Amino acid sequence: MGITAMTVGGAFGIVAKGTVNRLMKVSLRRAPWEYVLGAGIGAYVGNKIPQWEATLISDINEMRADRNMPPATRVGGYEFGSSITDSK
Amino acid sequence: MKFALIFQNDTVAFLPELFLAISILVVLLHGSFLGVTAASLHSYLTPSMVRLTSGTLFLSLLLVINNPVESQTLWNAIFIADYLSTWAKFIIFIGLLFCVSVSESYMFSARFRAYEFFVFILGIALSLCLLISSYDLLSIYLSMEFLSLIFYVLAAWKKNSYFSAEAGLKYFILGSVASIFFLFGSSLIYFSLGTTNLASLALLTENLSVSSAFIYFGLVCIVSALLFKLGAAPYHMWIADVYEGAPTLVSLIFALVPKVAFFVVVLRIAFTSFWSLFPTLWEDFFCICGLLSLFIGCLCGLGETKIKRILAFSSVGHVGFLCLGLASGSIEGIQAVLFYLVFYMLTAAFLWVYVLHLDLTSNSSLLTFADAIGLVRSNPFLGFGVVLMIFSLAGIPPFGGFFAKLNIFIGLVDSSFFIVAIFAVLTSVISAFYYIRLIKIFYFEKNNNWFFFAPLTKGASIVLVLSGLIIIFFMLSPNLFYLLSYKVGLGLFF
Repeated sequence: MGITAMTVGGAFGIVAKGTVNRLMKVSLRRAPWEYVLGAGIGAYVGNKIPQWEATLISDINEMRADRNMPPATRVGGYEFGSSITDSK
Repeated sequence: MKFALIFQNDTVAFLPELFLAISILVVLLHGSFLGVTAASLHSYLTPSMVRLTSGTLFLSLLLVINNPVESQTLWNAIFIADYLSTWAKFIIFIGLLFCVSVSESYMFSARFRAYEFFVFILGIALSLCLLISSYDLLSIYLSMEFLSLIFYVLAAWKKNSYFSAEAGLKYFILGSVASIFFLFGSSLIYFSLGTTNLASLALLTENLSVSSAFIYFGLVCIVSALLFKLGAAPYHMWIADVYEGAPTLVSLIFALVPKVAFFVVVLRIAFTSFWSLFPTLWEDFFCICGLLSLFIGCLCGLGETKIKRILAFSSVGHVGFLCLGLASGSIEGIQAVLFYLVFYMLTAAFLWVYVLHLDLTSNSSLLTFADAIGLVRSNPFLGFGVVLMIFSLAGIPPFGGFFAKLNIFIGLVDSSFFIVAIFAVLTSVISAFYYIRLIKIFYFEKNNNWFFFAPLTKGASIVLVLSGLIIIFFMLSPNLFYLLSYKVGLGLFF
């Protein structure tokens, strides 16, 4: 999950920089270090997203427990079952 | 020493606002000392002010994210720090960073030679933060006035334009009426319940079996004033003229930033303080305002030929959807509202930055459809992005706007508002007509004028790409946002 998320995030960063150059109608090769920066930021965010999701799920279950509600298994269209809540 | 310790936690939770207040003074001094010669205004002062303002906003954003206080009332329960306020401040700082990123080239081309604009941007950030954190009717009023005074000045910024002066004056007069409504409503609430604090009001009205007419009338006045600021029908009469007359950069700020803050205040009043009145007051009130906004948004946009006015009426329609999300009165409804707000802000950012670029390249001061043809043809990649965003605004699947509207419809159907949901779908179809007409004009209308390519600035390109990519990301993987909005809604609801 971590490597996939990092790869997707890195790809997002590279696409973002390429699109910026394309919109400005300059060469795609301009400022190549910004591709590296974009890929790095994208990979970092991609790596962090699963952690943020896990933290949010535990926070939500904590808030629900304070309100005498059972742990959540589904929020909106996102079904996370019991595997994540059990591991907490 | 002991007195200082009493407010220690309050000060820590209030750090972003304190930092912004001090930064305003620093930026003002920086501008005053460096702007003594006219020659330095463009070559040095404006870029340095852009960097300073961006840095200040970014540092405030970091302070908001890393705030150690999770949920607590501050300064004798006048303000509150909670999940909702953190979320809303985050969105607002992102919106303001977008605005500052595109401001430099616009100020250069439009010959705005005043560094005070950036002081106003920081003032907007501070007033919005105060408004979001407000937990008392009086602090809401003062923050709202702080924000409005800045907006009145910005709307009339272009001194040599009759449209801008008209926009400023109209906004000032109608905004004053809204302020009067808010104060009158607050005084009625105080008269009936003896307090203006939202937490105390929540306790007082929790088990209220018989409410006085003063409470109902006061609440209608208060929320009417807030809906006026949002541009919801029937309080929408200012929005098209102000968006059209104000400088495009200012219209961009109007469209992007304040909606989140005003919706937070509406959520606090309706869902926290006066939740017990939901079935008797809020349900019908938000339904009526939502349906009227949808109706006016879709019908008034049909006859328009100017792009800024179309976007203004589109904004009225989208506020209608948000009101319907509130009317459903469930946690799913709040989730849908938060989801919609973010999607609308990002889509509006993309389209308004496009309009800003159009304003810089066009000779006409009233941007019509004919002016838009050239830019789409001279920069087809940008044109393609604009088309995708227009599809998203129209709510056509699989774009982000479709999912945002779908969440609202699900909230309505879950709360058994079947007829309202059908009406909302119908108005969405009608409004899709004028969105798609825009695309037809961009690509299929003949125009004999010469088209010249005008390069986009790096700041504008980054804003366009970020808003587009965030929308795509949330379309592909909305889980994070579902969880975040659920947490915010849960914190507010009980």
